[in-house]
Amino acid sequence: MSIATSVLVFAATAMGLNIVVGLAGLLDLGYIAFLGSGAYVAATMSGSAFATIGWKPPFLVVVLLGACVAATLGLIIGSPTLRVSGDYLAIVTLGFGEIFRFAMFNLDGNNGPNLTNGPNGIPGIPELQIGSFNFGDTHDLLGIPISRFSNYYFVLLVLVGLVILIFSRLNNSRIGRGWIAIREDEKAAEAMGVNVFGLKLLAFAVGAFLAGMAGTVKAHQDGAVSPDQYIFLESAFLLAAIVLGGMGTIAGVLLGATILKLLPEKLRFFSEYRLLLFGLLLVLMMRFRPEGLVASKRRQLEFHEEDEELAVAIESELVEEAK
Amino acid sequence: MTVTDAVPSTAPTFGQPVLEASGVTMRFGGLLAVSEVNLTVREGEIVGLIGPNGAGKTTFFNCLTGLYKPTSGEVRLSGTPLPPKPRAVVRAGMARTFQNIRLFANMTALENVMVGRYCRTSSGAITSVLRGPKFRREEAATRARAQELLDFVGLGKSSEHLARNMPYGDQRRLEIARALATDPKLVLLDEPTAGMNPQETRQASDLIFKIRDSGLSVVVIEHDMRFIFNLCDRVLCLVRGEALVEGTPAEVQSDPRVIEAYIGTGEDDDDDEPAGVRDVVREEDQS
Repeated sequence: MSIATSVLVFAATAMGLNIVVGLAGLLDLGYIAFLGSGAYVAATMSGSAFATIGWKPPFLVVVLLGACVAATLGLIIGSPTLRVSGDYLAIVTLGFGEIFRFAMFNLDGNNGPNLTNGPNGIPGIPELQIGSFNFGDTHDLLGIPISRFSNYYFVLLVLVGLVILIFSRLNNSRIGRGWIAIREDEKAAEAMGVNVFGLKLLAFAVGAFLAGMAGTVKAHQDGAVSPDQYIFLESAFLLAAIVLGGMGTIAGVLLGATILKLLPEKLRFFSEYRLLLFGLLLVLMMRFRPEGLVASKRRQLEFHEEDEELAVAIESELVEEAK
Repeated sequence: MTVTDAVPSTAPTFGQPVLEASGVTMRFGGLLAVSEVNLTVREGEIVGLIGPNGAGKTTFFNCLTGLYKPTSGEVRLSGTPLPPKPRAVVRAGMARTFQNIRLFANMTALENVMVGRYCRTSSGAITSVLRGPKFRREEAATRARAQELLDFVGLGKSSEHLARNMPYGDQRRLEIARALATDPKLVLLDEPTAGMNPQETRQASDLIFKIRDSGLSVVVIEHDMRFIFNLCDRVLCLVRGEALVEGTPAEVQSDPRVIEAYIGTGEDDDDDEPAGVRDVVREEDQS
């Protein structure tokens, strides 16, 4: 069950990143920082013995606060950088991810305020408690014992559901159409009155918001936060989950997240070659199926611009759907 | 610099000026692409913009629509100065098409036109997620209006077709529909008949008249002289970034400077010469 909960945290975060990468088409290599900021907000307000803020509001407030802090960070990092395109954005976000980690590392009271206890992080985060329901205890549901991890599992399931809902509804709206238009031809989109900068910023903020939410739950489930949980490799894994599963799809990204989180557990004996294997897998994917395991129609078209037959086939499906 | 001829003769038949561009100049480093060009377009008027390749027609369009920030000069739409930002220009009521078609290739025809409605709708992120009544109302209205515009340009049956699979002429018409979706007062068409056969060209010309009859003003860049002289109320000829002649089609057609600009001194590449002018010149010779 512990693996299942970590898969769900990973999946929720990957779905959030999917809005940024899959829908708006922005490459974000520092996304894990938003998960981290949510987790740190939850940790500092958890009432742990090591927490630096004494205030312990109800959990729903913490979730919203964590999400808002992450979204604010997203806006701060997004507003100057979204004017640059493609590769530059990737580098800036990569830098942001590292800055976040070092900031958490150094906010230990030696230089500036003590917020995060530096490298020690904040351990001893108490179990989630909503009303009289403690997530650490085993509860009985219709005679079936629901253990600690199962409690978190169901909360995370709700969270993943929420993220999917937001993802799909934004995708099928005026905003989603704007995002596709930006991916297709940014200049033409701007010339047709689409608010290119605003929509990119929105994608960034919504993605960060959702990651912040996931982070608040993750802090309680892990019981501790420390800077070394939020390294660049985690951002890379999130991105790999999206690329492997299929950018812009729901099923694909869930599948990709599951594969990337389960495989290392099942391949422990293989641990030294794990990264090598992932790298190889991604290279092969890029070569033979760039649209991912579960392809979205639109992405398939974008990746195969020369393929006339594919376009005709997808078009006839669209015509069928319309009838 | 050649002084632009004023044309009071056609002015009274049209309404208020919609577009007033004065002294528009665009300089790229040492290259003066557009120099002090003035253009006034009135309500319900079709104005043609002609000139040899490289005369600065498209650059002038880009200056008008905010894709380029003019080095100097001012563009006013219905009296208000336009900022050089494409989005603000569209909101103010001026839409355009592109010389090299820039549709959203992997979207359907209907979706392309729906993107054009973006600046006239306002559903935000929250109402889109909650699917509130405003969202549903606006989404239905957007879809209906987009379909209506596709019908208007004669693509009503191809709404679910992918833009990239459509025949060339249909792509041009789809681009016009997308521009019309922004509810403009004025549309700028950059070579709407490039690469079309005579029948398609005739349809395009009918479509432009239809747009004009619906109360809009139109500015057309074209190389096909027969097309432009049949279509336009007034024609402006640009040569090397400068306004050479402005007047009624008849005036421009018979102006020796225009003919000289097109035929040149023999240096011009033959491919660049539009057939229309050559015919015009031949007719001149015979008379």
